[in-house]
Amino acid sequence: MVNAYPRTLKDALTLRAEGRRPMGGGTDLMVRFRSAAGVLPRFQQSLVFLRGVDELKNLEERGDLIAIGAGVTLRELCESPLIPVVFKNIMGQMASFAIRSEATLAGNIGNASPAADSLPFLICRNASLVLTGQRGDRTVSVADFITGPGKTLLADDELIREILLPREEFTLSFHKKVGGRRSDAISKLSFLGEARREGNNLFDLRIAFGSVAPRIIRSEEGEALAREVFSRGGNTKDIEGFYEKLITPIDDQRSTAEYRKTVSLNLLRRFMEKLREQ
Amino acid sequence: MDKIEFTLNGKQVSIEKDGTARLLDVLREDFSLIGVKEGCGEGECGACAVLIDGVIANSCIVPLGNAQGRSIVTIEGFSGTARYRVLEESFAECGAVQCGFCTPGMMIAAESLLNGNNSPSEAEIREGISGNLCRCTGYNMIAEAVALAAEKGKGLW
Repeated sequence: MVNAYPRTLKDALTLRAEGRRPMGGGTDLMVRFRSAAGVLPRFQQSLVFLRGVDELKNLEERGDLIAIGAGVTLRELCESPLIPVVFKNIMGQMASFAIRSEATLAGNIGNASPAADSLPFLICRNASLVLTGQRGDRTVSVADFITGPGKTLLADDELIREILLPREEFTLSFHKKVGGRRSDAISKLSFLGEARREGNNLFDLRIAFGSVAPRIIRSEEGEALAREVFSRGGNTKDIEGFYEKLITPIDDQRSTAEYRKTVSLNLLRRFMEKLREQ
Repeated sequence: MDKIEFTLNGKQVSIEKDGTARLLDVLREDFSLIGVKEGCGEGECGACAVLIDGVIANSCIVPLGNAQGRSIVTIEGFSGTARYRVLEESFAECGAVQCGFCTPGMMIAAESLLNGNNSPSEAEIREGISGNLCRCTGYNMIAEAVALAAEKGKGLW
């Protein structure tokens, strides 16, 4: 089989169903399959290059949602007035300009790394994906789509068509990425806490941890507990105790399990302090 | 073999090669443009930076197939411009070049930054070169050189 360069989504789906692997910007895949200098990367399958498919380049408001086509780059998102500032800051720390200009958001999701920096945000915001195949479209939440490290619900004949991001307002968005360097670092861990507080009323509270478990950690039970602790002015130790059980990091070349867990819980405490200070 | 056509340093070119080849290898080996360096080979160091449609990209992680129909400019192509000469003078004046291995990528990063923002703050300059590693200068002299180029090259960007 040979690589293919379709111009329409219809052709792309036919080529995909023949057994080709989808290629977006390539900034993850070219590293994953890299070989020696001057030698072709070791891809096991032929590829369908999606860059020429204009139908995947939409970026628009759609009712209460922002629809982001699978071909939209991080650079285009960073420059769009539709994208929340907190997410632009996350992308700014995730990749240098030289990567943002080629990398797609859909690629970051599709590669399903536990350290993917877009995921805590997308899962916090209840974003979903439209998957498209020759049998039609289906919509799944980003949280459900990723089933484990490198594993997703994407079928062999499907492509990610677009990302649907609900339009929501928060009064507090507290994001921290811990990495070895300001840009281009793969996260040791990341934390995102968001809340909507008006006076003493807490209308919404969401918490996500990245790079500290096989999947992004987000828990309805934990968030209910955090709201309850906030309302009664209780000790954040209870919330930390709850999340401590969910945070199951590994030791690897980037960091240690102990460091990751300790810093994650410190960031959770800092988020609750910031929420009280608001 | 895939047939990929693109513009390289202002000239229309065509190459028959597997589309998964690294753009970096194609530029160095098929077009002899060795100003494009390989440092890390995984998008972290910026030594292989080129301009694609006027914007910086790391050629070590761009598959050739994604160059189809686009305009690629390497340091060799950029060196014929007035903007390059301002950057060259500024880098020399500030002592921003030591071993020189990161310099082509740094100049491409500077060009890409100034193209979008012709009077960047120091923080913006540091962000603009944050994807480029230099193991000699400690970055201060490079950041100064970019600021000086923005000043000297008023009207060029």
